[in-house]
Amino acid sequence: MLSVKAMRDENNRLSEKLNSEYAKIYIDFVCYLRVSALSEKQQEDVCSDVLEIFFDWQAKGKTANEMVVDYKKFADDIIAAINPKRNLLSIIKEYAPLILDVFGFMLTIDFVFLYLPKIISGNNPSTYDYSLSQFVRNLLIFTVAVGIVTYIGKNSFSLSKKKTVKKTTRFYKGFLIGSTIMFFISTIFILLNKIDNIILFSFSMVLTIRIIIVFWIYKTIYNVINVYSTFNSKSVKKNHPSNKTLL
Amino acid sequence: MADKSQLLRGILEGCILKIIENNEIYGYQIAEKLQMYGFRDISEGTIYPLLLRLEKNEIIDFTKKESALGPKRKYYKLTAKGRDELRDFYSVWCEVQNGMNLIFKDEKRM
Repeated sequence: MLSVKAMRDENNRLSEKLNSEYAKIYIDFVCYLRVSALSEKQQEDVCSDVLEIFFDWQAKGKTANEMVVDYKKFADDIIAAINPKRNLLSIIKEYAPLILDVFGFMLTIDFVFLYLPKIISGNNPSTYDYSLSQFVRNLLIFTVAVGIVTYIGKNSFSLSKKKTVKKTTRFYKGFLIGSTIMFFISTIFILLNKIDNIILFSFSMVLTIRIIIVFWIYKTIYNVINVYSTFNSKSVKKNHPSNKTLL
Repeated sequence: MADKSQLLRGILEGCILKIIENNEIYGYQIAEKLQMYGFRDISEGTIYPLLLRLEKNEIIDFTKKESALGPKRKYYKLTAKGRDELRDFYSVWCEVQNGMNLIFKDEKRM
């Protein structure tokens, strides 16, 4: 049985053979699935099935809108049919790598911008202090990032539809949204300064540097393995019959 | 009142099970057969969620075979549980059909 990553690579490779109409809908469909309650394996199984369906329709000369009127409903019906059950353990298992990644990145950024200048100037801090403001900031960044991705995914079908909006309306709407966001960000930063001196925990600087080094070694090895396995699967599939160009 | 989609919703799974009964068949072929039998509005897009539900409830199973077009194709077949479900569905269908025919025959006479 293929790993989830291998399935994803295979689905991505096959999706390149869709025509532009089906490719656009497939991308929206995948975005929608990515923010659903389906597990990664279930998502890739469904993507593989939908690709099979799209290839059949494409080969018969059918247009995407001819075959399904509402692709969002189609996706919802699929998700409802699978009816995924998520327990706390599966949610933790799904989000743990992302949380560890965010922690690793933020630790590196904090170290580079807050502590490295002090070390370089000879003022050697002995501990890395993790304050309440850093925790709140990281939590906000994580929440906003997940919120944006979820919003884009949930609305992928409607966002990709062309809307004729006047330029002035778009400008005012953008200005209003941008100003509101900047206001909230500024307010949050002012408030964060007030709780900056509340230290949640401290690491020794040596331990902090070791954690950062181990994190980046792990990320590098992980990326190299991914690139190698992707390259391998592409070489194996090079002469596969499905590499014929579809009409 | 004569909402075809409501009526179809109740019988489509039974129709799919019957089509799959003696054939190892893939989704597009199932949709084509349904269209051939007069269910013209049914496409593979309509039946795919139903096939997923039947698969999840172990009423149908599948094997994957290579396809020239793209990903491996799923060929569906009935499980033992699926054969029982089909038998039960047909029994209920006959009962309903008999009742409907009697109502229309008797009411027509009156």
